Amino acid sequence: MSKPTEEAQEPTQVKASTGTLGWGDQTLQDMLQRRDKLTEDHEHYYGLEELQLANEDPIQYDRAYTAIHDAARSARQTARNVAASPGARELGELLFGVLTPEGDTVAVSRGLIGHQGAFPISIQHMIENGYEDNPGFEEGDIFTAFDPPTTGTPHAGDTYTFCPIIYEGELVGWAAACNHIMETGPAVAAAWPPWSPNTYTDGFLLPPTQVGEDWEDWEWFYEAYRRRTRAPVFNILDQKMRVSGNKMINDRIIDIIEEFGLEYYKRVIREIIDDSARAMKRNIQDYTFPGKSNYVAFQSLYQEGLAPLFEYADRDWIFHLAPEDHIDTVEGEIHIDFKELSPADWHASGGYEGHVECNLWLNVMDTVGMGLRPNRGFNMQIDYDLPKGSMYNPKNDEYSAGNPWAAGVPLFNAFGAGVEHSKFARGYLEEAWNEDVGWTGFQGEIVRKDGSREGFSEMDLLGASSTPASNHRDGEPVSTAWWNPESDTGSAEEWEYVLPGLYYFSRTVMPNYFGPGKHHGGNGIQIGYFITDDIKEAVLGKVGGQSSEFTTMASLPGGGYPAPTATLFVFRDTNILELLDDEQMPGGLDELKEWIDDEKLTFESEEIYKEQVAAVTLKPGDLYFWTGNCSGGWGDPLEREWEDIEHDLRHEFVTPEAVQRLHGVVVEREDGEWQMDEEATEEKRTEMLEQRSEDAIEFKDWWQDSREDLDDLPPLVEQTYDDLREFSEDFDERFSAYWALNTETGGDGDE
Amino acid sequence: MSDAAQEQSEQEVSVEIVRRLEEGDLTWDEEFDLLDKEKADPNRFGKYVEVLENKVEFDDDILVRLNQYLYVAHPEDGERVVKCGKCGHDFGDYRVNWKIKAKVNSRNTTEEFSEIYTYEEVTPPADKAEMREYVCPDCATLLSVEVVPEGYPPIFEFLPDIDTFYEDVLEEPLPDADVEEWYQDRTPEVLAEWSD
Repeated sequence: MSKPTEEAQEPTQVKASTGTLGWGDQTLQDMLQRRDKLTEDHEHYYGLEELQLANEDPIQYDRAYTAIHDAARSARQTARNVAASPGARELGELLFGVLTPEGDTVAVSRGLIGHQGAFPISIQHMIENGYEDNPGFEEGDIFTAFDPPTTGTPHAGDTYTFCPIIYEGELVGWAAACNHIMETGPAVAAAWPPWSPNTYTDGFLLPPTQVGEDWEDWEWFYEAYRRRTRAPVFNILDQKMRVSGNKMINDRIIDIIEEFGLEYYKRVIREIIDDSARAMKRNIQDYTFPGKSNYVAFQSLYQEGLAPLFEYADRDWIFHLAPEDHIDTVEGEIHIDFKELSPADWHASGGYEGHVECNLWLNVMDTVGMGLRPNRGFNMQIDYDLPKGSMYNPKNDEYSAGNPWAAGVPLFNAFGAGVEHSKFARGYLEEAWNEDVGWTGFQGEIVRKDGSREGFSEMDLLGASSTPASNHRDGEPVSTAWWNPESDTGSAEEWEYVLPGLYYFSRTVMPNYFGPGKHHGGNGIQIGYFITDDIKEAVLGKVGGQSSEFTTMASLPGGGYPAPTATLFVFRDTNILELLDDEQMPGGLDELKEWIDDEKLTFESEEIYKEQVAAVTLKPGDLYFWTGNCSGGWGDPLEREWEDIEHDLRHEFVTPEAVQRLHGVVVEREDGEWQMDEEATEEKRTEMLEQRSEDAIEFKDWWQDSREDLDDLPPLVEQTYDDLREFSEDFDERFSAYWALNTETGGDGDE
Repeated sequence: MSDAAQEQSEQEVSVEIVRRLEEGDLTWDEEFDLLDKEKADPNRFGKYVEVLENKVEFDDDILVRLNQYLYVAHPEDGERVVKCGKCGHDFGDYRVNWKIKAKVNSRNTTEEFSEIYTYEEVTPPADKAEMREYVCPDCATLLSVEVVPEGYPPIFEFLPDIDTFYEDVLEEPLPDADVEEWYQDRTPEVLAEWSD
């Protein structure tokens, strides 16, 4: 099959409109241009050098923001119950927002908060393509959008719905909704397909399109979901959820305008945005130390052999997820240079501008977003150089954006790690941690006995990451998700009734599963399932920021061990169903392994997947087990305090054997209480420190040996460096400089 | 006390709290109070340096903390070096990645990775990855860990712009200030010498 073009495509020309929805005599296109010019000229949103309303009557101003914010929050809390997808109902994997007419976010609900950065791309697309004239915007119109290049959504799984808010014949803003839907119809059943060679195998994509009017979706759109996705019931209800919430927002904003006055409303929505920009500037000025950071993450993707029909995509990769932060404490700005990011290629792990706008802001919010109102404003103090042709800025729109979050989260965690490091240097220890939150997702399709199928994405480990370690505190398990600060794993029962044939036999915190340090990141989770004969088979895939095969990040601000990968274990033809008939269920990986050793659990074959995998077919009697979502360490493990170790032992976060192996602490149990043998511990720690000193060699010796081995690197590693050196002059220069290649005694590292 | 002074006083965090924060002795409620403050604690950097200078095993002024155990010390004007807070080991000029002056233990096998991660099924790929443990040449404290594909250049995680901070943020320029001279990565120069 012929390769899609790699040529750059021509930028889209703006279609001039003649609409009347803009303010005063302006078209919406006029308003977009005016916003850009005033913002650039005055370095304030819309040129607002003074926050007049905020200064004149701060209480009224706060009331206005609270009312607008509450419109979005109430929409989420109520509308989520319209949905049937556990992602929406249980995880709250959704977002509602109030936007300006130009598409800039004024206020958002809790939930998938990063999407406030990407919403403007859809609105801008509609305005620049003359939608103001054709089809026009009227109250009750429904526009839905899920095509990454045109809508800003990172991938089709994140679906946007916009409804214009019209008052006295003018567009005063938009109600916006986003949620992560159950399944998107790609070549391999998924919401985040890890295998998709180009945009045409990404599934059902839709540029911003009117799909309803008078607050009612058109039936053809539901038909399209039925025909083009594998989870139409859930997807349709999600659409209804988004529309319901938008209607609530629309009505509430109209009330707010009538209470505060139209002129007040028009000005306050802009002041609220610039207020956040100012707060962000102050945060960067107050909390950071200026400098440059270079954190990095690596992630493997194995595609060779999966796509012989797509010769150009029939290969493997290791992605180089490498941002360079330039932190300008004085001006209160951060500039990111992505000059060493891997090039775009024919796989699903890349994306478009919307992914950057969305993912980046999550880490901006976590690092320097303290105390401010999340909206368009805080984006304004961060800018970036994203080379054309890199994996989040491909030259044209033929590239897949099926699964950008897998590589994206570690990439932007690496950005955030630099900011955390800067805050640590400045002394805000309460605000600085390792920034290495990971995620794991599970998806696929269930084939019923009658041959009918349903697709799904299962989000246990999407809403339950551990928190990172800091210099004085361990992370905690099952606590958080960047992208959704108020998330949850979802009730086991909810997932079970939605996914017939796949049932849990365990779901617990996994002992010893973290990156060690003086303080360790939160433990990850282990989840085990069995397949029953209620179904014919299940085709399953694993994705995620943590399914890197390497570690979640290469190194951490805390200097401890980075978190290990998320792993899928598959056991085929087991006797699990007989054991369950006898009411026996293994409690976790350790017990599973014991049962295997004792031959209590039998199986025909076993597979292990550290990396992302697209489609593993499982039959009744098979079982699968996955681990994920732990974080890395801070500091030297040999410094871990007894108080923290005792806490871990008591909660079964760590085993006694691991405590000795990692921390040199010898323990015993007396009357149910853990005790440290102080003398044995001192001896053990001294021995381990001496061993460490003996094993470590001078860096210069290591460097000289390693330099000689550069001609003998593993094939995929060599190919990775070759690709990077060809695409990025900066990487080539740095690689050559660090290995002193092209000097008198060095080669060029190419042999 | 004026309103502004009152507000300032409520926002201020004492040196003792900063010390206890560094030592890990704050309760969660106490730490939450810090996180809950409306504004950044003014002069936190000065208090932080005071706490750190009382803690480390060397007497020089601290210009900035580089990581959990390493600091940029200022023994005298014209000299800015990385020092180990645990034992005072001198790694040399801070513009050169301290890692190349450390000792390193390299792990490459599944068995070696499993000593850290317990379950071999979650370890990095032994056919491609290398774990580098950087330790202090004197006290053997584990300073930093990298897990990278073989052959990846050592990572230089953070290069602070010290003079911009002292001059433009603290408004107390250092006697040997020179942004252009100090704010640069000189690691390749040293490595080039090693290849000769």
